[in-house]
Amino acid sequence: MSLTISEQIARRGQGQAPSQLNAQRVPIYGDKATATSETKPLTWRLAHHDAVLDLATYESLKGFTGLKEALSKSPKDVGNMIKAANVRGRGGAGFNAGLKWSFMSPPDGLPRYLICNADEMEPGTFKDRLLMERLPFQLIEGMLITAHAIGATDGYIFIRGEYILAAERLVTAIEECLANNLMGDNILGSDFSFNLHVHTGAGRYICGEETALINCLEGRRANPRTKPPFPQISGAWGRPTVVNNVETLCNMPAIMNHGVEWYQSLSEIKGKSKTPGTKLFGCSGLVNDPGLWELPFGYTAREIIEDLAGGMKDGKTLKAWLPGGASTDFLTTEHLDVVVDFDTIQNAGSRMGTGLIMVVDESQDMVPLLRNLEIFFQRESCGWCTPCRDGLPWGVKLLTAINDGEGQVGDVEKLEGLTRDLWIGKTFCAHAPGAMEPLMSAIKYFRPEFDQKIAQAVGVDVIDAAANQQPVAK
Amino acid sequence: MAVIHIDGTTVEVDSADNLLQACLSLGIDVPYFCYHPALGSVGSCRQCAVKQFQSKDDMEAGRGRLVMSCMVAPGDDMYISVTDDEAKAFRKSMVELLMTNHPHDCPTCEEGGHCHLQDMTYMSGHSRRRYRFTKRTHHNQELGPFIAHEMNRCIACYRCVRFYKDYAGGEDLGVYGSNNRVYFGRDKDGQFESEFSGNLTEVCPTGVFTDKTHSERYNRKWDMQYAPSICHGCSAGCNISPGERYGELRRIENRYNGDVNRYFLCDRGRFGYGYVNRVDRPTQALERINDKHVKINIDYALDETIKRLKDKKVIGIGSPRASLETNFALKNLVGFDNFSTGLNHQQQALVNKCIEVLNTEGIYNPSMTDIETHDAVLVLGEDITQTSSRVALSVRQAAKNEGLKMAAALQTQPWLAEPVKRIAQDALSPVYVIDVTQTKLEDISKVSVVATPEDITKLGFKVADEIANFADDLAEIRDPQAADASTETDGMQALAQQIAYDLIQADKPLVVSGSSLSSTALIEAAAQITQALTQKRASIKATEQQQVEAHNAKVQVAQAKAANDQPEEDQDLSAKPNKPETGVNTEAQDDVEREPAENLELKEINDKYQAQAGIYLTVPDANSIGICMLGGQSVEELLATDYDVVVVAENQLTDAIDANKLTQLLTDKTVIALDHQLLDWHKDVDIVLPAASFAEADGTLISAEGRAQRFFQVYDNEYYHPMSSIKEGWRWIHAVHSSIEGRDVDWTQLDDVINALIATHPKLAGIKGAAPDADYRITGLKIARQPRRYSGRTAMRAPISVHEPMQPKDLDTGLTFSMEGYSGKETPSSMIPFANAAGWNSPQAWNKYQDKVGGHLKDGDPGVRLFDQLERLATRQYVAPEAMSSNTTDLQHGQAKLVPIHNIYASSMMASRSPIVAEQLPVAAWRIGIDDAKDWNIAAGDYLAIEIDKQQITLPVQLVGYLAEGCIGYPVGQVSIIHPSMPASVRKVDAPVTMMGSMANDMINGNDAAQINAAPTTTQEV
Repeated sequence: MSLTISEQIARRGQGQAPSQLNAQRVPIYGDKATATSETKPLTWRLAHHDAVLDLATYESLKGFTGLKEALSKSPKDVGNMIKAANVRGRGGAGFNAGLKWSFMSPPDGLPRYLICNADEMEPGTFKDRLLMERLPFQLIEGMLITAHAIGATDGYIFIRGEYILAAERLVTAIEECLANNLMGDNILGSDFSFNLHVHTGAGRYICGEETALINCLEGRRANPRTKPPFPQISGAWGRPTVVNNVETLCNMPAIMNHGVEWYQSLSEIKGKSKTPGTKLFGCSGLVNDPGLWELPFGYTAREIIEDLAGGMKDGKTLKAWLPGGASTDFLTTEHLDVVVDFDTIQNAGSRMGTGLIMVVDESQDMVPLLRNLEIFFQRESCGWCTPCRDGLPWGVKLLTAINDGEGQVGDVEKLEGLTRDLWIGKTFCAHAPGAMEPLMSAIKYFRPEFDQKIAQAVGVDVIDAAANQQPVAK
Repeated sequence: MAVIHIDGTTVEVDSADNLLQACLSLGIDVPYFCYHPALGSVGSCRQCAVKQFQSKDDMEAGRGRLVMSCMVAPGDDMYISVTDDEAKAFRKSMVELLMTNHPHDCPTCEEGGHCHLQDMTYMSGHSRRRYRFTKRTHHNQELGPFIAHEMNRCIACYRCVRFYKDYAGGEDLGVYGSNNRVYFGRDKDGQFESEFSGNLTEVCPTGVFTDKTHSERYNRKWDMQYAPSICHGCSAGCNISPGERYGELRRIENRYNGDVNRYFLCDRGRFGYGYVNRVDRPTQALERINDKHVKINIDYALDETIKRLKDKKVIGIGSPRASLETNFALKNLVGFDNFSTGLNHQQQALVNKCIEVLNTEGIYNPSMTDIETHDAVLVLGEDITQTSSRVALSVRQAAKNEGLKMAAALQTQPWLAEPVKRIAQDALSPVYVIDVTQTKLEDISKVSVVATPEDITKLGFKVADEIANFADDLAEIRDPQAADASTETDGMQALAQQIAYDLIQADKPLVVSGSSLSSTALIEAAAQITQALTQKRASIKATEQQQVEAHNAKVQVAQAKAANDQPEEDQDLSAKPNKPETGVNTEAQDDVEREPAENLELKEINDKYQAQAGIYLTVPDANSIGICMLGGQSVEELLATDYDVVVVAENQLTDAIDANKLTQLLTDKTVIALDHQLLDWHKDVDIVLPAASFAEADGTLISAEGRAQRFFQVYDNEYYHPMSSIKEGWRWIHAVHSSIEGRDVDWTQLDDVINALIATHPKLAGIKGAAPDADYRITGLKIARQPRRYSGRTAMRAPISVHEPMQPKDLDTGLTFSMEGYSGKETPSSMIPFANAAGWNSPQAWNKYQDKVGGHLKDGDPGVRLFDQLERLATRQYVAPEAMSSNTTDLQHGQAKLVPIHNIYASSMMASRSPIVAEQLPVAAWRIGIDDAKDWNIAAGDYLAIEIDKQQITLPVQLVGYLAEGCIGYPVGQVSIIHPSMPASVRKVDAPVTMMGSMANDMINGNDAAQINAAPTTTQEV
């Protein structure tokens, strides 16, 4: 027997109060006067209302006009349009969403699925939560457009279990859509039919991996699946399936409304990025005004940290920053003028990830910080492949030992060994490599912090790293 | 095939395999854990990493990337390095990581010495432990008397759940938890429900699941003596490798046979060996003096036997459990006309019917491996999971063919285990299970039906009729389910139509039946279905051939004309005949122009659609087919003749004749029994001669497949027990025979018996080829039964005598009771005592003996398929018996109808004589379907007294979800009902005071609740 969403929520207790982000600071949508559907396509409606929670309000703010536009076009045309717009996946990988859709098997009259990946669990990331809590209809509209384009018959929003308020609001919104022919059979009188369901996860980070998500949705263990075949060929219940991030899907209505050229022109404002569209960027840590902002691509980290987040708190000095979640490499003050974009951050030696920056200040010790991150990653390993399952706990134990004054000469080399063995292509999915990114970059930039602790533990002044280097096979 | 380059060597590999399989098949050692040839690849252990290069240039420049070889399909011109430094370092790291939590308890671990983890660790070069922290620990579970559980050793390869759930269809083993705490076990303590659980001990690459029956008297693999043997548990003919030390059988492991059991055994075969070690076995001859058996020495026993036989009219009763050689020796002793098969008339008729069917022109009986290739199966009146379990495991694989087809359509290789499963979802090839009771194949069946044996037979003939009535063109045969629902058909007819439809549509259909319902008509019905299928499918293929030929001729004419008539610029037209806008000259088109454009393409005959349908018939015992091919009278027939002395070889006669009747028949006769067990009826026997069990003798058996296979002696009992007189059955008989005739013993070795046998029984000539003869040598050496490292030989007999005798000599075979001798990959497939190769000590070493990994053994799989060699009987038509009894149980009038219910352990006499098995047999109970119980007002735990064949049996009632309506099931092997079809009366009685009533009731109630809950929805009654 399965519970309805409302029942599940009731069992967990009362929903939380709406988040109070940016209450007194730079609003998410920037300047209220200039926030329009063309300048801030994702969040402009919040300039009018703190949250858009009913259909009438959403429709009064150009709601579902994108869907109507999409329904006037053939699925193929919508797909081509999105492909041409080059909406880069906002889950972190940055893959062209339209291209991803195009790998779907052709329709055969049997079920096909669209899944919204709303399992937002990347440490330091809270962008999808805002989009779902405050603009649930926008996500639904994005999903309807996508479903029309890919011929999906059913959709699921796989949402992180802790996002109780978001789940509640999405369920209410879906019910309202159902009552108004925006969901179900023959939507808005067209021959397009689609049903959408909200499925709450049980809080596993690995469910953000799209194939693990599908396994979990099916009621199986959340282990990633073998690829190929990719979900577009054999996904949920073996049927063709597309999984897109919340923010990616939220981009669709505006593109339908304003077109491909407009979308691509958005980032020309700054002139520093070739990635089209806007994105929710954010910053957390010891800054004055942590928050979330919708910005066109092209902003540098300095602009985000210093201008939007108000710079470091009193007396704090920036030491390092994670560009987009715990599974990205640390960058340092040297990289502050790098544009926060997929390619530029990659060139700087990290990944943009979710685009929500976490700052580390000089007073923070890298070893316990990393230990904390690695505890998270080892706990969230699904246990499927050896390097991840058994390598991450070893990493945690080494970091703990180093931090507790029990480190030994050679421990950092062992950690470095792990960063090699738990790397892309060697593990079954991207979980362990993600865990290695902060570790390997921390060793790269802050090795003396490790060595100092070990030197103290073994009672020497300096660790001669070179002398203890393990021979490395090339 | 693909041509690839591995470390500079160019080789040809099968592109249908994965790269790991290809490397292993080439003899290249790549370590692996999660891959298993029968379970496919999942890529979880990351142990089989190799380096792949885009091109030769990349390889020379060292620009490659690591790939998991088990997940890669070899492609032409692929450059691979196994010995690459980075690949080697990574593989070493992976073992190091696995070892961080492994307890390193090899010295006290029972897996040690045949542990895949040990082998792979050594192979990967990890030798120094750098991990200095605590290890995670788990609690273990109590999994019953067969399997021990030690989770701390787990390396999380996921093989156990993949075998138990995905391969064998079990439900009570799972993986729990996440990260490095993943736990493989049951939801609570308790014995595994699956009949194949014992395979976990071999599937597990380390010591998580080990054989508990071995635990009590444990020793290392290298300290056991082995022989290539054949399981005597049922008629499937699985190949086993029994291990012995100190004159005791210590463990049974699977012996690979690519045609028969491949990697897996059933639990009866693996754990039911304890009867060999029973302390009450007759080790010396017994003579009955003053109604008591006293031990007599071997010479005296021979003299006494000879004295009693000489100048007397002697008859002999053989056995379906004894070897052909022993049976033949007895037949030879008593004269061919005075020999019985040891089966009663009905039992013999059943086996003979199977032989007749399998020997008929146009009938094909697949091997167990071959069963797995069929894509529609009808199981007609045989609970194979209980009677011939390994066959059921093969049928389970057959059901997966639909999923494999779906995967192939998505270009997904069959070895990609997870994607295949995902693509298939619930799709299964059609399997119909028709039986008297619900069976464990229900979960894979399209329809499961319970019916009386008579109705099952009737249904069988109806299916055959439906098939015969089909049109000869597959396109014209309609799915009966899609037919107009308004036309009324009765349930049985509709089911018959549906079965017939699925069997005719399948590429390769199979019918499975057998003798356990004691109905020759049922076997005939199964045969008739197979014949009707083969006949109809041949017609369908002929029709298709005609259609394709006619079509292609037309297309070719049209194409030729089109090509000739075309102007120059349209020359490419013939290459694209399906273009609708062909400017073809209308005069030249003739009738082709009316064909839809796509029909202008040449058609091909569907090669996958096979005319031949298969049939597999199970029989009760390991040598049922053998004894009946050897031939003899039925027991009743022979005992009704005039005789003085009867010699009975290895036969539980009370299985053939009611015990009271037997006592009556044998009164005033001299009875000499030759057996390795002391049976109840032996108490009246004049002389018991101690015969060798399968572990102490060589011999030949013929399986249900008609495969003659040789089993070899594992150890010489006399070496450890000098007082023992245990001898091979044929040796005892021949010694007696020679003495009576006053000549020297002329059968000095097994080959002499076989030669004499085939000289007089030409149909059995093929058995000689089942294994090489006694003269077989490799480079002048016999094959060693003991591993090279076998230790303690000189001390082994120290408690008996400090003087070490010579090792026993084996005159009969090319094997030797020693570690000295040949041991290795060149051993003939039928003579491999145990699997072992340099660096490979676990059962994974079978890889080294195969033509390709998971394929056949190098010089062909053991055994000779006799029915392939024999002259075939002419095809005959079987017709449904006109009148069949349709009486059912009528509790009011006290009339009962009994049907047999088989159990993997309880229904096997030998397995249930094994003490560990005997401890956990199910409670003997009458089985009644819940619906009938309601009608009859009977509850679980009530007692019923049933009188049949002049005996009264009182047992409690156990309810089952589904049982043929109006029938009462009796537990085969736990009550002695020889003729269930005889009139029987039934009445409700009070619980017998002798029973521990309440306890038995609890057990019954407990079982019954579980059974009802498990009742699936597909089961219906007809």
